Parts: sequence; C-alpha cells; structure tokens
Amino acid sequence: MRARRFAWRPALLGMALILFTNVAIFAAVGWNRSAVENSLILSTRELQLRGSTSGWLTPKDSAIALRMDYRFLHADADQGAYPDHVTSSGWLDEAALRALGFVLPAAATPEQARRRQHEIRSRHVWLALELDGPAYRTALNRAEQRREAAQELAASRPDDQKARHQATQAEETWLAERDERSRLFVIDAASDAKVLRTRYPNRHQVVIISGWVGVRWTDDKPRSKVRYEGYVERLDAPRLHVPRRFHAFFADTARAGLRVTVAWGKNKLPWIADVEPAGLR
Amino acid sequence: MSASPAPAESSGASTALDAQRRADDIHAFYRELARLRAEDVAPDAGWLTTVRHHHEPLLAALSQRWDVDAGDQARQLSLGMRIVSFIGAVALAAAVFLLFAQFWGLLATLWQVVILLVAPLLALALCFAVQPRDSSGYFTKLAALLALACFVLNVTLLGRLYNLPASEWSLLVWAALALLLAYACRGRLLLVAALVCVAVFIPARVGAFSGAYWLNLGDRPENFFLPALLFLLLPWRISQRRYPGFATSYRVAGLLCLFLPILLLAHWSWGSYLPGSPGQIERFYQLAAFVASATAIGAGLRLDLPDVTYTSLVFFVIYLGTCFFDWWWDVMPNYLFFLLIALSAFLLLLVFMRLRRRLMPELAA
Repeated sequence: MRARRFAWRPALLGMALILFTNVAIFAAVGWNRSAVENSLILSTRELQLRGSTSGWLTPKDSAIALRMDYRFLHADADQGAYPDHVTSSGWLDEAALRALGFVLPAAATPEQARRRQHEIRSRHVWLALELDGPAYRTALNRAEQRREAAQELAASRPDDQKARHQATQAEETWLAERDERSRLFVIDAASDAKVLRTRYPNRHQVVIISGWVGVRWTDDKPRSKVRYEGYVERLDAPRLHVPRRFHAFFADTARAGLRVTVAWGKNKLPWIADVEPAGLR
Repeated sequence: MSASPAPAESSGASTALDAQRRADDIHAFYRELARLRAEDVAPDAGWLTTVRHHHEPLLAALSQRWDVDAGDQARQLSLGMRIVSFIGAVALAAAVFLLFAQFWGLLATLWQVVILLVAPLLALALCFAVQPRDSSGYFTKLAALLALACFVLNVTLLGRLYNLPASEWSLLVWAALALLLAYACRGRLLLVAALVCVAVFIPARVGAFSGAYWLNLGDRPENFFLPALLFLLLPWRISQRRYPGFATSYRVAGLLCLFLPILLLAHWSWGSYLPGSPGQIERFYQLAAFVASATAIGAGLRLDLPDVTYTSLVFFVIYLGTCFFDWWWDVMPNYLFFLLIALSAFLLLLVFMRLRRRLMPELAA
C-alpha cells in the first residue's frame, strides 16, 4: 500500500481526547480534595493489605493498596461466635430495607423466595461506618460474657474436655476481639447522606460513604416462612492507594501497629493523609 | 495488437479490497487458462499476448499502490504476517501492563502521573509519525495498539492512584480512541476493541440509569439488543468500503450482541423485561432464536454476506442443540437423544442442499 501523509487531524483529535480525559479526572480529584469532610484514624486492624491476609508485599506488584475491613454487629447476641461483615445485621431488616427503597416480594415459602430472588436488585445507598463506638463495645462485651460463661462451665466440669476446649476458644475469641479484629462497624444506611450526617454528627468517629446494599433471604424454619435481610455488597471506593512516601511503614512487618489517617473529601472519596507508628502517641 | 500499460486507477479499484479481488480474478483467469490448454482448448495466441501485456503492469501497479497478494504463496505469507502482528500487538500490550505493575509502586506520585499522561501521548505521536513511512501498515497498527494500551492504563491507574470508583464512562473514552485509531490506521483489531467497549458501555449505562450497579450488566441481557441494533445498522447506513473487513466486524459484533442474549434468555429468563411467567418468556425466546437465526441466514445468502450466513448458522445449530437438550435429555435414553441429533443434522443437510440447488439452477438442470 502506498504510504500516506502525516494525518494531522486524527492525531490532534486523539491527543485532545487523552488530554480532556485526564483533565476531567484531575478536576474530579481536585474537587474532592478541596475540603476534608471526614477523617478517621484507622489502625492495621481496620486496614488490610489488599489481596493479602498475611501483610506481606507481593513481589510482582510494587504498588501497595489497603482495604477497609468493616463489620456488622449481629442482632442476636447468641448467634455465631463473633460478628462477621458478610452476615446480616439486625438493623438491616425488612423494615429498614423498605425504607431504603427495596420492594420486597410477598414471598411466603423458601421455594417462592428462591424463584423471586432475581427481582430484588442491589441499591446504591449511603452507609454510616463507626470507629470504636458503641457497636464495637457491644461486640467486645458479648465476647467477654461468652468467655466468662465458658470458663465457669469448664470450672464446673473439670473432666469435660469439650468444655475446656470451648473455654480456650472463647478466650481466644475475646482476645481477638480486644486486640485484632476491626473496630469499624456499619451502623446505619439511608438514601440521603445528609440524613445520616444529622444522625451522626461526629466526623472523627463516623464516616458517611456510599456503597451497594443487597438483599438475601433466610429460611425462618419455625415459622416456615422466609426472612429478608440486607448486607453490604461493596463500597464504592473500597481500595486505598498508599503513596510512595509511606511505603516504608508497610514494608516493615515487625512494627507493632500503625495509625493511618484516612480523609474523605467533598465527593466522599477517600485518600491516605498520614501514616505514623502507633507508639508515637 | 498491443495494449498500453494500465495504471492502477484504470483497474476500477477504489479500495484495497477491490484491488485484491481484481488481482485474485486475474490469477484465477490464468489458472483456468492453463486447464484449458491441457484440455486442448487454446485461445488465440495474439489475443493472449495482448491480455498479458495488459495484466502485467496492472498487477505491478496494484501491488505498488494497494500491497495486494500476488498469488497463493503471497496470501499465505500475508496471513502469517497478520498472525504474527496480532501476537506481537497482544504481547506488547501485556508487556506494558506488566512493566507498570512491576515498577509502578517504586515511583513518587508526581512521576506516576507524568508517566501516565505522557505515555499515551507519545505512543499516539509515534503511531502517526510511523504511518507515512510504513507502506504495509503493520507497524502503524502496532504503535496504535500501544497507544490504546497506554491510554487504558492511564485511566485505570489514575483511578487507582486517587481511589476513584470504577466507572462505565472509562469504556466510552477508550472506545472513542480505539475507533479513531481504527479508522486512521485501518486496524480491524482496534475496531474490535472499540466495539467491545461500546457493547459493554451501552448496557452498563442503561443499567446504571435504572439504578443498578453498572458491572451487573449481565442481569439484563436485553440491554445488549441496543448495541446489536447499532452495529448492524451502521455498516448499512455508512459505507465501509474503504476499510477492508470493517463491515464484517460490525455485522458479526451485532449478531453476537443479538444472539448471545437470546441464547441466555431462552434458558434463563429471570433478567427479562418482558411480562409473563419465566416459562412463557423462555418459550418466546426459544421461538425468537430460531426465527432470528433463520432470517439472518436467509438475509446473508440473499445479500451475499458470508459472515452473516456463517455466524447465524452457528447460532442456529447451538440453539437447536440447547433446545433439544432442554426438552429431551431427561425424558429419553442417551442413545436415542444422539440419534435424534443425527437425524436433525441430516434433515438440515437436505434443506441446505435444496437451498443450494435453488441458487445454482444450472447444476440442478
């Protein structure tokens, strides 16, 4: 094929497209970071290295990112050994889901619920995440009560290996709750961020961020009916990039802990503002 | 009688496709001529010489202007070059991605931003700088793919750097650049990349507009009918003759966006917008599958569009197979099921043979 002349017009159009896209991105970032609307000081309990549970850097990816580890407080104190963010919460019940705009099918039996599950799609909502507040204290108290009950039972049955084992597990669970597990709990959800901010005005303990809530059903066997409950499918910005200047803190796994200041801006998008060792304060 | 040398312009070829077809016809002419000689049917030698004097400069001009394949061997080499070019392009894009992943975190934020911004601009400049010197077009397309890969990285990594949520709008800007480069460099792979981005963007945007998470675009398969319509109509309304293979790419992409959702809805109707019970919707789409694919086969034959014919035929067979499985696998022995499949294949063969005879009446006589 005969060679062509330099194509000025498509070259300039392409460059304009690339520049425009980048300007739009930086404009959004600049707008977000023009003011700090929220900030939390999180520890390594609430921030996991993304893609890794051990905290080691992966040699093939030199960037470091963190993932916020949040939890729900289960409504029933006897349910499960400890709260887990993938289980339901008492406050995201059917009434709360309807308040968020979910239209729950009038399903009676599990089979009907299974058939109509597809009708319920996730909704974009605002979530309130609380750090080291009443929800965490409740979780800690429950773990302590279970530990005391298990220890009493083991003391009253000295020959019962199972009781001794349960007492050991309860002790470990309580220690994990006190020293290791995340203190960040999802405590509320609403369609309007301002409603949540009015309810929780403390900007250094409760952060309002956006995410997606899904619905699942459970079989309420005694009543042979289903019960709908909500769960957080994902946050809009679950990933926190760690700037290069803070990498040294995360490379040293021998450190006791870190205090990571995470700020949220006007668009409710986060960034890491500061990192310091926990022992400095 | 002697003929004057024929320049490429007088061959009637206005596109590379026309030029290649003319060259292929000329070579086919000489192959048939050789067979006729072997069968002692020899045309006038003087006339042959005239024709040969006309064809030789014509072929040379076509080769120089349109880089046509001179024969079967050249065609095989060209195919080999395209395969190698494709592998090279994919490997180059992978190398760029992995290079960024390996060294990205070692750079300060400012340098990360500078590299992300400069890389696609430089690659784009390279693409258009190489183009005037690259008569084959392969190196231009490689550089264009590099520019697209760098732009995808630009948007993706800036999003990660500033913790921005993933957005379907990224697909739109990627599609825009891919489309621009595809038409500037006549790159089919770039066009396919653009079509994939658009095919995902439209359903994602429609879903997001109705309140769904954009990545759950598979929840509503019918949203893919919109890009299907766009891709099928576009080559029909806007001529793609100057861009070899582009019309085929549009049509095949359109058919995939049409037939794949129908295949899904024919067996899993939960995401359909249509009212009615799941069984009713699935039966409707099973019927629609056969009607649509058969209609497309007919249209492909009538309009001489082999891409439409073959794609539709493949899906017709897939629909048949999946429906048979759905209806009969559980209610009859396995051997009987496969016997029915074989009988259906024979029946289809008879139908196609009959259709073929209708298209070639001289053979039927």
